[in-house]
Amino acid sequence: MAIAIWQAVREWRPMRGSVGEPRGRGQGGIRWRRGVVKTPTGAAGLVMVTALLVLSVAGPVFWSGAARAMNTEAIMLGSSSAHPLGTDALGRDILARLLVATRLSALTAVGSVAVGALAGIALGSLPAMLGRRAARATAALIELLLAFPPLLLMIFLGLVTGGGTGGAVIAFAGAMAPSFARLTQTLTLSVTRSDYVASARMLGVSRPRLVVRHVLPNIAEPLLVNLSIAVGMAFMAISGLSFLGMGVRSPDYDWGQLLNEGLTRIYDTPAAALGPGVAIVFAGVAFQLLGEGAIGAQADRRPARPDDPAPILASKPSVAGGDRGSATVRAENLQVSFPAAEGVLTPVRGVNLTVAPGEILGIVGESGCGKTLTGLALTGLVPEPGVVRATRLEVLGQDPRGLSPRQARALLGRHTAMVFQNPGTAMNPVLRVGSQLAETAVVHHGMSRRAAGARAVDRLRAAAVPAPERRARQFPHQLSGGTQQRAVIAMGLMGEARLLIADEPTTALDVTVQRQVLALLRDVNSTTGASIVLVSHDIAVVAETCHRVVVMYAGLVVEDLPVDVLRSGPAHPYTRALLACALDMTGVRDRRLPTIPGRPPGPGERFPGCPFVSRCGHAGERCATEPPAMEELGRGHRVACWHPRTGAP
Amino acid sequence: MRSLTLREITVRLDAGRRAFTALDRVSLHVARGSVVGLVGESGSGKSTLGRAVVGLAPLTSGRVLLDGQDVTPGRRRRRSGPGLGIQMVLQDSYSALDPQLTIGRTLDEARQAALLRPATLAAQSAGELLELVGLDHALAAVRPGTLSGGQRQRVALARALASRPEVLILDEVTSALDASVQSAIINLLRDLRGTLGLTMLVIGHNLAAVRHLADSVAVMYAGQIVETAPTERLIGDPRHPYTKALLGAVPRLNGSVSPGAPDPDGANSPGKLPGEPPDPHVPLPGCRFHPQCPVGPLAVPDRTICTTHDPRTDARLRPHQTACHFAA
Amino acid sequence: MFAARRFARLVVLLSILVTASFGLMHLVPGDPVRAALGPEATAAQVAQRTSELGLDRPLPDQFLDYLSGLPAGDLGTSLVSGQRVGDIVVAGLPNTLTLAGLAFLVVVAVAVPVGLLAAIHTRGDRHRRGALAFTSGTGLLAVVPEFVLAAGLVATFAVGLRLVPVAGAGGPDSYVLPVLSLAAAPAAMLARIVRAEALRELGQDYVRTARAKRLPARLLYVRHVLPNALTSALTICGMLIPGLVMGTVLVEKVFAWPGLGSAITESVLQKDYPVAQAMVLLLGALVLTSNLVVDLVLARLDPRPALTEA
Repeated sequence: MAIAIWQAVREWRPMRGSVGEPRGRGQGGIRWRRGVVKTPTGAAGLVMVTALLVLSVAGPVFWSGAARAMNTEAIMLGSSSAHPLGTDALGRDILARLLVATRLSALTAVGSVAVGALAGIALGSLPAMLGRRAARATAALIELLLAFPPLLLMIFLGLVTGGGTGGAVIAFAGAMAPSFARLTQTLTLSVTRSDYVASARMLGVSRPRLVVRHVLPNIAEPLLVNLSIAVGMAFMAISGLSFLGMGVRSPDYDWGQLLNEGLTRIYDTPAAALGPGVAIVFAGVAFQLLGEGAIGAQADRRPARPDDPAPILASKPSVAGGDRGSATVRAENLQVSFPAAEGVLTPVRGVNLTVAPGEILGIVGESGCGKTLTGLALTGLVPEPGVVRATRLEVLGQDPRGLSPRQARALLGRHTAMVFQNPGTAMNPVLRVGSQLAETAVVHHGMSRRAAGARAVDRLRAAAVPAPERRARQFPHQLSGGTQQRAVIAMGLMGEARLLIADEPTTALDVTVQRQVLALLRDVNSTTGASIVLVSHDIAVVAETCHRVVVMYAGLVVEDLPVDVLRSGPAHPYTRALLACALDMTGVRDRRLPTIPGRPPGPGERFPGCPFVSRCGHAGERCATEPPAMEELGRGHRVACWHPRTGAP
Repeated sequence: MRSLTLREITVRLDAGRRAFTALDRVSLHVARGSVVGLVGESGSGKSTLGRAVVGLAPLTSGRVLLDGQDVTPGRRRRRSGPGLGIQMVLQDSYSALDPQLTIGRTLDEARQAALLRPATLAAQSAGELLELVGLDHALAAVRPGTLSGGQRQRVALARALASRPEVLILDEVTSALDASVQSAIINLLRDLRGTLGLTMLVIGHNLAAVRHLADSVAVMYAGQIVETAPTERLIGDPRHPYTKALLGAVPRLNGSVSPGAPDPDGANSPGKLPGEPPDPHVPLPGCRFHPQCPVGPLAVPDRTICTTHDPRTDARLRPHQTACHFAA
Repeated sequence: MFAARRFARLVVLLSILVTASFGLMHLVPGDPVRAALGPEATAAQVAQRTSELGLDRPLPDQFLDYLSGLPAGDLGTSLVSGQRVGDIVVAGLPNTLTLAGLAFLVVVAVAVPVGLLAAIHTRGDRHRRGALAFTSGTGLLAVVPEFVLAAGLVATFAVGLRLVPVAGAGGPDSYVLPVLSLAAAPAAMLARIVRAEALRELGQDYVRTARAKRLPARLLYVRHVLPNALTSALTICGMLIPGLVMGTVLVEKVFAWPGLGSAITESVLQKDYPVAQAMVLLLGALVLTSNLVVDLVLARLDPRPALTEA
């Protein structure tokens, strides 16, 4: 029955943990109420709910005469133009009775939700208000109440109260109070655990004030959404009770009771039963839509498709560096764009790079410069709805965009591998480590399960995972962060990897572990000869690990240089600035640290000249108007700058 | 400004089978107007120490003193322990600001708290606070959603300063930021220290960042402080094998690998630790570092003292108060 | 270990349930026997009936009697008909369970694949119209109460088209409409939830890793995504069971189905407390046990301790 489903949804939605967490875009809590109207579902819901409200006020005023008028001449009539839903056993017009019954149905539904939600919210917010012991006791009570299904509570309360209109209201209220208590408790907990509440507590803000100022505004939104849906459910549940004869009793009548009366005549006058049925569904749908519209207003901003992207500035595709024989990767004017509410965003605006066989290439830049997407685009893993464009894109001699799934498996599955930032989530939590490694060998190399398992252990050993046999049988969460990352790298070593793309592989790890993982990557490079692309925000990590470095800024490559040139004298002012602000262990301790003023242009912004112009200390007039092209400065050293620097940084 | 003294702080977290000792008798002194850095890796307990001092983590035992006056949180159900005297800027700038409140209202909350406190200077206006941390007054009207990470961190700092604390604790305030923004925040903190004479405890995992702020540094490992020394001495002449490993692992622009060069991480390189970190849930006798220690029983089998005796007992007698039986 | 703790929890909950169902008759305002026999009964009749039922004895004795009767299936006798409650249960329970069980199977068999397919086809904002059609279709279906749907189905297929019997439990065709009206709303809801869960899983890092491994689609979805999406969907399945059992009460009324539904409604309406007590006990035990089964299955599916201990 409806209420069980309702509870199911209730339990399910807080699991998302979507509430109380900081929202990236900073919507206010009030916003959705205006936003509801903008979503089609929300607008429809609002209209329907308003209609219900108007009817419940006006219904008895206009039609109670018709609903009461008995007519012995017109008993049990079928549908006709005078009586669209027919008449009942006393000759009263059923449509008029249906319209009049709106008020009682609405009152009982709203009343029981008000009672139940209030009780539930009060109970659920107690743990946040009370001391630790009382909080634990309340939480246990809620847990206990939730163990019993709401329907059982409803029957129990129905029996104790003896049914009738009041009984039905209390029964439904009691049945849903525990769910509301749990919802409130979960939401409150997520807010009270946040750092902003911790900060307020440090300032000595009292508990009740915390609840009023921080907790309630942050949980009001989801509570209101759930209230709306609950009212819809109450319409159905109380009608259900009345339908069974356990709710509203004659001489009062609500929709459920009318349905009950109509059901006996379903053979000759189906309209008498269907009319109340439609009314009940209407109410349920109305509040459901309103609730969903509210959720939609928060979640979804319809972005435009990038079918027709704005012309994007791109540096001239350069031939330099392109003739190194058979490169592992060759990308020319690589662009990645995303549809967004504000128009098309282009985080990668035109990247040219090559990766030679056996080379470790570093891609370095600040957050948002497009380095991660560049790495993903090389192996065709840009998440939807992103669009990848390039005048030329070759990975191991093939364009990954044009491959059929079968070809992609044969080429990329065997020869490329990726390592991601967060090793804790990179592996499937419900599968054993060994089997996650082995499946690659089974799929791509047709190995037997047993042979693949042995290979997995061997590869774990090659990645310096301690006790590889035991680790292979464990689940990812049983491994430490460093070991998880080694296992992910081992996964990449299952085939004959010729290209390994590692995206911030050590950012989530401690420095001592970082050192080991970087050493492992270098080791993999020297023993297998695989090319490695190391994406990192940390110029020191890149300088220490790579042979060659590509510096990205605002979705473009600004400099491409061998690592010794990076140390001795990079030419782009941005590269030099990055080096200057890198914190190190040797410089004078109390010098003022250099910084780069301003912000890089966002992925939606356009600029006619050099993207760095507003932050650059050497910019001339030309920099603001004309984009600099990549020019070769020295052997393997190219830079996109009108005023390249020389000498030590 | 006053000095901060922590005496034998112990924190046990969780209950039942999952219980573990997050902090094991940690003592630390931050002199008036000085800055002490606390470095360690994730799970070493450094953030827990900060949170315990301000009453956000339950203190199992130990005392917190401000200029010798006991302000231990949680004693005799006193609500807020050190009160406004110690403020902490928390790690995650994204959850540190209430998404529903404007920056101005967030700062107002702190200013009101400061007004209730006797003997403080008149609270500054929200605009003055924003100016203090290098932000535009106009930001008072916006919600945190539109701010960048660096701006949020500055607002969080302004909130902490609003109540004129005696001691400021900074928990990984720069770690999630880009290098340039990180440098800017470090510069700001140094300026504030100059103008306000702040006493600070700076918690971080990045020695390179902490080094630019702290006068002296304490190194934490598995809930214990293993070495404490003035910053230059600690970096120039580390004594504890763990400190050496930590220093050796910091990536350096000039420490490199040209193509074909030998791997700098040979078996004896200081950045390399053998073994795996110990399980914090299992109490370990002796030195907590011995399962990973490059100079302990793993390397030299007859060093059994490491598995039996707590090296902290004699730490005071060794240079840098090093908790190691074989401190070089 | 986990199973042991769950069993202990079940025992605690069951004892609360037994106590509550026993207490039911004593919580009711007024004299339950008077209420059941009606205003025409004389004081003597009421007193006689009260002593027959043992309701005049001290409460603890009554409770012990109640407890000692339970293992043997002695649930008392009906105040109204004088029938043994056990017999009423035996007569109706199989019919009700068959109906609820069939509906449950239909729900799972339809909702899981439909939800998963919908997620795969609408992932990453593709087929936006399809997604809208799916959510509004299932959303609409999910709010149609089963008794209303049942009435509509009867009017259309039994009365109008005469394809299936109007009422009663008979051949296989008599199951079609009741099962359909019971299963429709939960299936719609579950399909939505499976889709939402699967979409969420598709955005997880491990799926990106699996894609980077270039696993074939079948392996990616069935081996990697499905088990993770199911762990949360399964919790919902567990919660659907009591809903289905209760839904049968309503649907049985529409189809004049010879199950427990009428026993439950009648007992409530006629204040036949021994029967109502037994129904509360029976439904509660059924639900608590099925929740335990779901928990145990979940614990097997998901090795992470955090989920199972919470």
